[in-house]
Amino acid sequence: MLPPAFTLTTDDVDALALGAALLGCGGGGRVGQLRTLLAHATGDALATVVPASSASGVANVYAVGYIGSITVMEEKLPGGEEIVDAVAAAVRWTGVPADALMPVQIGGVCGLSAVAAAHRLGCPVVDADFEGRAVPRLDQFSLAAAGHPAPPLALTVPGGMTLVLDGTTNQEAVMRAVVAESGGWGALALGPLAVASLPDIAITGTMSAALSVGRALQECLGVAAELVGEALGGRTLAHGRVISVARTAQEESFVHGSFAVLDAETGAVVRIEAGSEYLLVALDGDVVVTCPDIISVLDARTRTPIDAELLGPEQEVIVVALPGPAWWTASPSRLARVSPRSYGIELDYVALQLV
Amino acid sequence: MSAPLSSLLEHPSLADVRVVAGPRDVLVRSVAGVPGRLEDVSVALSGPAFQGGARSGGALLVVLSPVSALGWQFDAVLRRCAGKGVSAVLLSFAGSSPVALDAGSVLLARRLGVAVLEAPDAWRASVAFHEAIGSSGAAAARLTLRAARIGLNAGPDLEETLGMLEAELGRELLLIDRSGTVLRAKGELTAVEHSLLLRLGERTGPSTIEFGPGRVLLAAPVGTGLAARSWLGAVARADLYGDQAAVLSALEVASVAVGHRLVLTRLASERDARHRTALLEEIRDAGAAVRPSLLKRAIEAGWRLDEWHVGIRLIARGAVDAVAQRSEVLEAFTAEGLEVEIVEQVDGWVLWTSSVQEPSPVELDHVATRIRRAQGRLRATIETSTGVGRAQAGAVGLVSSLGEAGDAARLASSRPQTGYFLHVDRLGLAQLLLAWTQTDTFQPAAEQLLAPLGDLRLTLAAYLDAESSLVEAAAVLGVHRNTVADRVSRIERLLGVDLGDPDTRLALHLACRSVGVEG
Repeated sequence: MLPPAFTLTTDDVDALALGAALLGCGGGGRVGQLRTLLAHATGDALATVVPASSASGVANVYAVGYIGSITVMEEKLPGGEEIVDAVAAAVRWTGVPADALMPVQIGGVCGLSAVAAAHRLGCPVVDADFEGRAVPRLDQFSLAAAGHPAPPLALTVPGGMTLVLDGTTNQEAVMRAVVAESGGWGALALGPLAVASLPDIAITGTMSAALSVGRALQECLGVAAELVGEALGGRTLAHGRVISVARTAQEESFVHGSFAVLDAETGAVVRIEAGSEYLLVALDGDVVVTCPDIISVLDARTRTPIDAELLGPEQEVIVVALPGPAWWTASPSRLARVSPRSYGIELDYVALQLV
Repeated sequence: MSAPLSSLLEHPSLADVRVVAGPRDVLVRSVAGVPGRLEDVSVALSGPAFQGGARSGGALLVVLSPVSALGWQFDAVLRRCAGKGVSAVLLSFAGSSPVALDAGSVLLARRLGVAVLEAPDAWRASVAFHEAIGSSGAAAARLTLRAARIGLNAGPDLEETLGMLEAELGRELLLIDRSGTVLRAKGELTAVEHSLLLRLGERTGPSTIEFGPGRVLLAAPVGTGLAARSWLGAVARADLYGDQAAVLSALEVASVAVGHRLVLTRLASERDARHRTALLEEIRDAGAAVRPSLLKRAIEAGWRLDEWHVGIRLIARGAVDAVAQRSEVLEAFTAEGLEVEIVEQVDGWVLWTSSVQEPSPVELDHVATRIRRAQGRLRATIETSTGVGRAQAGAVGLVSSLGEAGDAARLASSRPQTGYFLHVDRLGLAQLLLAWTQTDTFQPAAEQLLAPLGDLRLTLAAYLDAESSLVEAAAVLGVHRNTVADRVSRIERLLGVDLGDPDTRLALHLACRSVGVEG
């Protein structure tokens, strides 16, 4: 059922980075920095990826990642030890050792950060995350959606300051306040969580999913634009130029962007609405897909995902969508956490129809 | 009812509505307003009110609540609109700065064939659209009511009333007489439009006539009960039937008010005319003895009796309404630079110009030329025989000059070769004398004098014309001179006169000329 354990090598880094970027839906932070870091890691083997079940042989896992502005992270570079420090602080606080790490979100930079930290600590990575994509807020983690109490959380900000937040119901607000005052981003580790409980509270198999969709995307360089979506297990929604871009501030997703792409072949007007991530696509005014399905905008030439922050006028793009993680759509209460309404868009979830 | 969007947008009540995207050439059949945000509008479009697709085709959807952002929600609205046959969407934007449609929405509107309109106040525009396509009788009722109210409240001045009506109806009004002549219009009408107005002549009730491409003239008859019927008209777009109905009903009501003002104007004119005519009559009767009280009234009327006057007489060569058409006469003479006093007569007008100094022959010549030109100007509406008297001074001189002008005008009426125009200074004394014989008192007397002669009149006329020469008269009549001599002696016997007496000869000669010998 779950993918078996496998070893990630430096050869897998490009595919994993591409896959993480794609699952990031235009958000989650740019993967370039960590891809470079991992490509230069010592030795071929980066980490063992173990399935999220009791069969993995690991008991407790800490989830790691970054919070704050990933754009600032590109200017104020990480020292490399922030996640390791955060994990150490959490372990020190809870007294429970970290048998393995997992990313809090697979999309974007966090997915790679777990691999980098696991490589540094010499522990396995659990094939799961809390999102199966990228989301902007902690309350949108599957952990929260499943009603799991918030585990202790350690936060290390640039410069080395570390905080442990325990017993608070409002970790996010405290963290964001700290991050805002201390450099714009931070590394976090939360746990411990029992690996055996992950199928209920996390989305499993997402690391291997990122790797395989990344590989598929690598294969797409010579594929006609119309077939790219299908090759990725989804559907191509449009291929054409961006004709309008509008960005405004918005509460639920911090930013809001509205883009229009003119499909070169059909003449259709393709509307993409985005928060931190791409959230909705409408073809000629008909909404054809929304979050939590995976929406990605690829550069038509390089076939690499373009960040929602970087999408600009006159870019030639391929808009693709993939079905989102089934975990989210399994119940209305889960869906409510990541549906368009959770982003302030007055619309119910529209599932991608595969042709 | 339906109307093309482009035509609707030219309606005065929709002047602040603009097309921001999509086609202009769509047809609007109905108007539907939906309150709420764009998301709610999408939901409403899916609801039962918009069921029926083709049946609700051509609807104008008005988003009643101001819109602050567009984006995908607006795309979705456009899509639903296209699916439901909605041909246009009207928005108003929240805040002072309008939200611009982005390139995507503009393209989509064009692609889906849905026009996107923007107005500062969607509610007001919605009502205006309703009324302009005629799906509501409210416009007609309101316009009619307002026209009635103006009729009640406006002053007695016709122009003031028309001005208020124009402001209310949002378009200019024409006043057209029965013959299709424009009595009042703000702008110039083209020759074609003038010719189209003639069609009103065949109509009796409220009418709509074609008035150039895409336009119609709406006209309601104005009844005054006094003068010939005129029409109150306004121009409307041919394809806005609702608008036409509303305006025409308002015109019908307004025509009562306009008719009333026309009657008031007419009454005032008639009062003034009577006053002038009576005053002139009194001056004529007074002769040299103008009483100070009469002089005072003349001064009040603006008549400068003590100056030099040139009398002018206009006799209409057809039916004339001297009171109503006085203004036309005044206009024609003013246009020729002549300052004249005008007094209405039964068959036309007497006029005169006054000057402090005695006019020189050259000046008189100028005056005559201008009078002639003024007569020419009038010809379009009033054919006249025009006579001009000599320049004479004072009240007596005025009466005398007017008398000469009257004689000259009578003479002119039989003289098409001079354009029915005669100036006493240019007349021979004989013609003038002759003119005097054609007065109402002389002619019956002449008729009576010559009555016993029968056919001998011809002989008498020829004999007198031939300077009492029997030979000459015989040649003219084609008979022997003895026959003429015999007839002359018979004439002397019949009339009991002596043709050797110069006074008798003169009287009989004038009588012959006056009565004419042919009859």
